[in-house]
Amino acid sequence: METVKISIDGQEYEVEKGIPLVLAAERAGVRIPHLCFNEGLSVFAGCRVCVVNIEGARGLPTSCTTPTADGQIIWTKTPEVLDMQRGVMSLILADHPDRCLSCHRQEHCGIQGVCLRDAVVTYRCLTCAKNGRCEFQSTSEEMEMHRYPMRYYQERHSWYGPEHKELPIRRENPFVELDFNECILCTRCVRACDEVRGLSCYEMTYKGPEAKIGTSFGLPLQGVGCDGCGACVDVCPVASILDKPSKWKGVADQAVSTTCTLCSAGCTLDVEVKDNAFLRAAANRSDGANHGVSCARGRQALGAQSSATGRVGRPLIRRDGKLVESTWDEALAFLAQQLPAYKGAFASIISSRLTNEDGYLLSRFAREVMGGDAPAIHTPVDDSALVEPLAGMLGVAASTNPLDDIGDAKCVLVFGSDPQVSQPVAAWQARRTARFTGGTLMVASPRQIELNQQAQQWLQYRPGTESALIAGLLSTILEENLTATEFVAANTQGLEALQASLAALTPARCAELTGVPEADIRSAARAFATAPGSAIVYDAGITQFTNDTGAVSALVDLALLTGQVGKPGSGIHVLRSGGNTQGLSDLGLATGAVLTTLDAARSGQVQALFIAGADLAGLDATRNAATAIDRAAFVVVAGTMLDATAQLADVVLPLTAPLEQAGTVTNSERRVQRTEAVLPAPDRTEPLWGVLQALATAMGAAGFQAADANAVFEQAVQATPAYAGLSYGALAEGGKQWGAPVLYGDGFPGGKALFRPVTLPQSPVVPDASFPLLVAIGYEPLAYHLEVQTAREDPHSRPWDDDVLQVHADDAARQGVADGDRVRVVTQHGEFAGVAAVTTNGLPGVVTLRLPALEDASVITGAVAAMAAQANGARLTAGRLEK
Amino acid sequence: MLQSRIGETIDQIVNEYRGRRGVLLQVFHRIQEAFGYVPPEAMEPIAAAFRIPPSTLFGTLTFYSEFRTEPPARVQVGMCLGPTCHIKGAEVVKQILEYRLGLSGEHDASLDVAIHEVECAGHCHLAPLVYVNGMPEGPVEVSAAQQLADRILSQVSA
Ligand code: SF4
Ligand code: SF4
Ligand code: SF4
Ligand code: SF4
Ligand code: FES
Ligand code: FES
Repeated sequence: METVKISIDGQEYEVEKGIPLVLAAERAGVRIPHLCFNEGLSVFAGCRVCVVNIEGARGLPTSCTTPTADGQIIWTKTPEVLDMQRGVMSLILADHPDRCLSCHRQEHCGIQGVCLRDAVVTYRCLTCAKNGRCEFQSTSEEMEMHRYPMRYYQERHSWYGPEHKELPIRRENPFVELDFNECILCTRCVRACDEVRGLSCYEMTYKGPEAKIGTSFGLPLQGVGCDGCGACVDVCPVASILDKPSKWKGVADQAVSTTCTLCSAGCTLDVEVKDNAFLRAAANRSDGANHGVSCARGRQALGAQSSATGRVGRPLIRRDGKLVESTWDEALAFLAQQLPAYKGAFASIISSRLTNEDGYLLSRFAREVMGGDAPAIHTPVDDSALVEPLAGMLGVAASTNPLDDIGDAKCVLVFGSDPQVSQPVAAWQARRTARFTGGTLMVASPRQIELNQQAQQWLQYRPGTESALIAGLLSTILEENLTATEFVAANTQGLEALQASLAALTPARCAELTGVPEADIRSAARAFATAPGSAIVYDAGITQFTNDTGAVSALVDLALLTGQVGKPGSGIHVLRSGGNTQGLSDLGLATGAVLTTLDAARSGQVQALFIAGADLAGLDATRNAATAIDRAAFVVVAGTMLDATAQLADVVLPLTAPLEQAGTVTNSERRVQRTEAVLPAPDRTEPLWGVLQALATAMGAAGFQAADANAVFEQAVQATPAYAGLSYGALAEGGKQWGAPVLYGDGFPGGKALFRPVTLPQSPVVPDASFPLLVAIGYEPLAYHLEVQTAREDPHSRPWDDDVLQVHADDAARQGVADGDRVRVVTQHGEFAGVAAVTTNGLPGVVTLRLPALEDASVITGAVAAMAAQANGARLTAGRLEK
Repeated sequence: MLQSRIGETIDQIVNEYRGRRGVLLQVFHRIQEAFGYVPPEAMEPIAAAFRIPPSTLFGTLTFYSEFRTEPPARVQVGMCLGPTCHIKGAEVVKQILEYRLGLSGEHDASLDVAIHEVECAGHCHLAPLVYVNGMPEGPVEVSAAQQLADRILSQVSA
């Protein structure tokens, strides 16, 4: 960091060179009032409150537009500067409904007291949702505006107020409430949505005195692409844009940074706490995984588990068919007495949201004490097939590069996935490429996804032909000599086999198979191969066949063939399903094993089940898990709620909720981060690791004792070579990636990376006369993950529609189905009812089920149960539409 | 116009300009020529073709007072408020017109007549000057304003 010496109000400071003066001053401890400036956003210079005197400069320059330079002599408090600042502020106040801020009697009643002047009901801070946490309020106070003779608008304002703008308050959005009557037109929201999110939901509309922040034709936010990320909420200095659920809940007692465990982005969130309860969450803007980005899911659902009604308050033991309350001592003694009988017939399932410490001790318990296999990780969508090729072909079962490298790449290929749903931070990174770095964003997807708005190219393939499309890209690269020859020669083996497998899969043939025009395949291949850095992004949507690694292998081939591994601004980014799936699998727990575990219980091979944090029986998706759980002779459920799974248990153990437990989690870029105990845990709840060490000890096992999460983590590090060198203490503030940030920079662990031949899936689903449509599964973005925590407590809180069947307009016309009709999709394996959404987004001949509660690994065999061809684990089947 | 026809016309216009830069205002103009205003339906196709988010488009659209975002009135009345017309009582004429046309106070909200102020157009010999759908008329003295208003009303109801 280059520094310069400047003088502010007669004091010398050494500050960073070239940054806005207002920021440099703030860092040096000198506050210059400002309203439109916000660190991290571009400079707008519209409020003019930040003026200062700089010796030698003309007039009074705005300190947000003036970069620091050596030798500047700045005066921020001269009468001239203060008068100008207050004059400007008084103009802004004139347009703001509050009257206390400029009232000379403020000292008597205070801005939060009863008005001594005109006690009529007016807009006042006292009656405002932002009272006490409002930047405009605090800036006015700091500038002592009530002492300033309001030269420009005199008494008019502070007596019977300005004509209110009377703009309607917009309450349509479930997460963001808008009231532009207080708006001071600082445009922070416009810049935040544009620059932080790349969505541009807001704009300054109209002009002159009519100017106001607005959306296109006044549509509600969700009509212009808003997904409730809250970036605008976090920056609005007044009460115009507020988090709806917490709007009237007031000021926090404290805010604590922690890691969100609801998806594999692992965002750092600032969780606000009031009266020991969750109040609201905001994105932390320091250099975590998310850089100030977050999503509705994290902000709204993370705290819900703690405040949920129906939490299990103490251990329960089934006696005479009923679950009855007991004590920990009793419960542990009971378990210690019962469990030994099931040694060797024991299996465990753990939610992908629990911490590394929980997973590590459960794994040890399962293997060392119970003689079972490593626990199965329960993920929202089965993602076991997503990483095997990374391990098998490259060497490490994880994303090759940091998430930042998606945004830094010059070409991003988002394949078969919808990151906006599965991991919003990755979607933001991809958007960053398209919007701000001049890179190319390509979306390969059967349906349009949010990212299509920014994507330069869309490869719309028929569901199930993922591998064929990638084969087309590979063949083009080979045919047009776009191969990174040197890289391939030095670092890889198996090229011949790949070439041989592609012999019949010419670009033309692949175009035929996938329905993507050959020219598009070729241009996409060229863009990917010739960009200086290209990144591949995918989530569990990539394969329509759960046990098929073919598509992912082909993508790894693509990265290898073009040399897009082992360097910054490139890489293969797998968006793991589930908040801590990466961490738990790093520690040796098994992905993709939930169904086999349940099957083993069903067949009697497993007799004791230990289920932690996963409501298998309660989710639409795994309702049939109940039959398996029922079959097991002894079931232990550890969780926060008395949910459908807990109802089936012999013993229920009350766990702490995510915000009540300190520990570590690992995000999809291998960043190990700390979660903090933000909220006090209810009495008698325990973290899972705490339960397990007590249980193991009670069962006579040695080496389980640990004083705290820190100690368990140290044990886990000892046992996990990849985590060598990590220490709990050093993970504070943004965490630490295991392995090099960019893997394979100095070669591959096995010496060479392996190409794999491309194989097309064995049994593609072929629609026929009785089942003429392809039935695919989509996600309902807002519903994904949110339902489990919110809808269960409050059925009215579902911010999304009913189960939706997305039907292409052509098919709808043929069947006489209209938008909003209730329809059924009938397949060989079962049927599914929902509301038809007729659309042209998607391909004719494909019906997409948009499932709200896609919380579960076995969505494939669950809600759609049956709809899916169980034999090959397809997420795709053939069906027909009926009214 | 039928919804689908609106869509088709918009698509046609958008397609003519697709792939070009700096053509946004032209596209707005063409759409306004076609419909008399820029309808909300135009936003999505333009946004998709030029990769500009709809709200940003709307910001640009509403920045220019030439663009209308609602269907225009059938009769557009332009009231000159230039110096000569002012001296000859244009304000009063305007008030009379507004009142008779139901454009003020409680009589508001007729979409079919709109009154707006214009600058001196050099027809001061006709002061007070009124444009009715672009055609200058004058002098519209205070005494004649009522008749003009009635004529306009009959035009609207016809
Ligand atoms: S927005 Fe801020 S300054 Fe305005 S009334 Fe509310 S609390 Fe007071
Ligand atoms: S919540 Fe996020 S996406 Fe929605 S308007 Fe605000 S910044 Fe934009
Ligand atoms: S809504 Fe808030 S952030 Fe947006 S311009 Fe108004 S005051 Fe600024
Ligand atoms: S993107 Fe993922 S980690 Fe970040 S706030 Fe949303 S759910 Fe949580
Ligand atoms: S902060 Fe400098 S002009 Fe607004
Ligand atoms: S002032 Fe009205 S025409 Fe000149």
